[in-house]
Amino acid sequence: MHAFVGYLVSGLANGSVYGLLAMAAILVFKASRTANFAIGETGTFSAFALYAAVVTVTRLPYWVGLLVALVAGAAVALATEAIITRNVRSALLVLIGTLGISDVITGINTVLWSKGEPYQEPSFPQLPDVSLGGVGISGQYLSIFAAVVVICLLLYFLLEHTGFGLNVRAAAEDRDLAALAGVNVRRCVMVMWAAGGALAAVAAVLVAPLSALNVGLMTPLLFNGYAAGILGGLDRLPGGLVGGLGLGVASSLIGGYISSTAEDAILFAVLIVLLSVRPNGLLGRRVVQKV
Amino acid sequence: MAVARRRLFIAALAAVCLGATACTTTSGPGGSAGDTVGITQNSIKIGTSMGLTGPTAAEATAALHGAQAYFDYINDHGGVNGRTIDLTALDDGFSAAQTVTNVRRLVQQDNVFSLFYLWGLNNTVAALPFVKQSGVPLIGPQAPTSAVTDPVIPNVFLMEPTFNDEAAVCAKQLADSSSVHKLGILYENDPIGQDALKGAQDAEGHLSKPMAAKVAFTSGTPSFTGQIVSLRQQGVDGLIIFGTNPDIVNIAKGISLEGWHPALCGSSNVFDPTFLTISGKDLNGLNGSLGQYLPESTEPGIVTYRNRLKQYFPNEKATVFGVQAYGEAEVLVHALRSLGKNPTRAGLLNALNSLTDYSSDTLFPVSFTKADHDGVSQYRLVKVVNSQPQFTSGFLSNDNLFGNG
Repeated sequence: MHAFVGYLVSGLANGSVYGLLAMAAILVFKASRTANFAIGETGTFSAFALYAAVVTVTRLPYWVGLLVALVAGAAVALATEAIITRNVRSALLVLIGTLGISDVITGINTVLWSKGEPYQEPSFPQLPDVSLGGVGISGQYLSIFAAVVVICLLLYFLLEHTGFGLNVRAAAEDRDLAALAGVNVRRCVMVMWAAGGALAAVAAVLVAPLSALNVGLMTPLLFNGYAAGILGGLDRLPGGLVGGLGLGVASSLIGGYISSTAEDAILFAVLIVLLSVRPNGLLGRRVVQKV
Repeated sequence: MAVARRRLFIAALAAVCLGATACTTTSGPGGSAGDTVGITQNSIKIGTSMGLTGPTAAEATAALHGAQAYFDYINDHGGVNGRTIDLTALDDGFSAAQTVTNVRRLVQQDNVFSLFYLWGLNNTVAALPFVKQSGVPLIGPQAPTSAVTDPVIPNVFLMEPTFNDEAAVCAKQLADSSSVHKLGILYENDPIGQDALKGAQDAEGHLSKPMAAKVAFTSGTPSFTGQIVSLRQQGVDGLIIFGTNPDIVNIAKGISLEGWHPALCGSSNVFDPTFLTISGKDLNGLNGSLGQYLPESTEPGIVTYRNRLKQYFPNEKATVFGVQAYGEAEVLVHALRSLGKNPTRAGLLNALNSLTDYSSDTLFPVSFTKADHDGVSQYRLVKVVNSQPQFTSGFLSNDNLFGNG
């Protein structure tokens, strides 16, 4: 039981981070029907922005630094959107273009920050450490979990229960029709990309204090973030949360009870089987098109 | 039809070109035609590929500056038998595929006499088939894995203990501790971790305590609580940890959070002052071993290293990687000097193969034979005290730690 609680804690903590990245991916997908593979590096850039604001350059209070990070994430995502999607029409080429942008951001992070790395990122004001079933749970994990749930609820409300959300959903469904109905499609797309960048920033500033802030911080997490989005369903925001937590917990349990060496292989084999049964993800809706 | 013929012609031409390339690069170690490539009247051209951008840029740059500080010093003092050392460093962004491309370019286009260093275990391993085939000497890759030394590759010389050796030393060190009853290993699920796992497993026959648990982890994972709780539940009280530095810091924090106090032993890369600083007190008590002097020690050779670093790269910090590369540069220069006025690749390989207990400023004595290209076989045990690494033993070797078995 003790070990099971440990695996569960690990799984939920890791899954929360995957969930944040998955939701960032979903926002972009809902807006543009493509993927932004630069969100990992966008997050890393934002974590460095927070470090600069709070530690090295201006020594601002943490909350102001966090705001700087969110703005940085949103700005980088907007720049990505402006550079790539306005010049390229094909979703596949947009996707490849974001990979290029990812490399560019890595280069910028390297030039600006690699000299003195690694850094100790200031910690998100964390909840107190607690013990569950004899297992110590870091307040940092609890903060991450709380953040992902609150953000998911807020975004869900925004997208499902507001006029803006209706516009976004309409634009995602059929851009031309939405534009004819008076929806400012361009603005919807920009807001969704910016929100995706800000979410990536949140993920990075939550993860960085756990180990060390460095240029490669978010690279290993991006793949699982997208896998979580696909598992949950790329057209439903709660799918990101469900997919992230599901992936995190499944990964942890497989590593603990079956094989830590073959953890990823088993996990993704299961994922492929699952997606062959539910191709739109766990919460994804079947899309029926008239032909 | 014409198009098909043209394609056939191009394919045939490509095959001929590829064949020609293969022929020029298969002279093997000590081959003759290209034996003095890269040697001019005034210079000796050597080349390296490093992740000067990307996730390990800071460490790689520190290593490059360490080596370059030594070469600059030598060049400012007359060079090697009248020739300067001309180091070409290409950036591979820590991508193994780019390392292979860079190494090919250094050998086939830039015509270097010898390859030096190469940054990264996976990067070096990816380039090994070409290096082996080309016969061009590769001196001191930053790839402490038994894949580089076992079996011996005639033109490749390693100058640091492998992760395999370090893990074996860790296992023995912990097993000999009276406070440890069961050992465990937590290793990164990649070639670094696999090499360490093999070392620990190979040492099991020499241990007085059982290896109770072997658990892998994925690098970059935010939480390691599951692995930590599992190891603790299996009664492990002596834990070997092998992985990248940020992961080790995160694991140490997790162990501390659990209120668990196993004896710890880890890979030597974590003894870098920067990482020990940011890890706070969580890594205090961590054991390990090193095949080089500590970057902040007062050993005369290290003081010399720091002075030269300050002279040529005033903004660079002394790091374990800088210490390593500086010492390897010294070994290369020593071997080149011994060749006199007419250096050849074959001569360089022979000089290195007969190097015995060479004392550089920063590395422990380096020796090679034709049958053993793992040059640093001596190490000292290290422990982190107050976030600083300290030697806790004199010079040791596997023979006196494990006996002759």
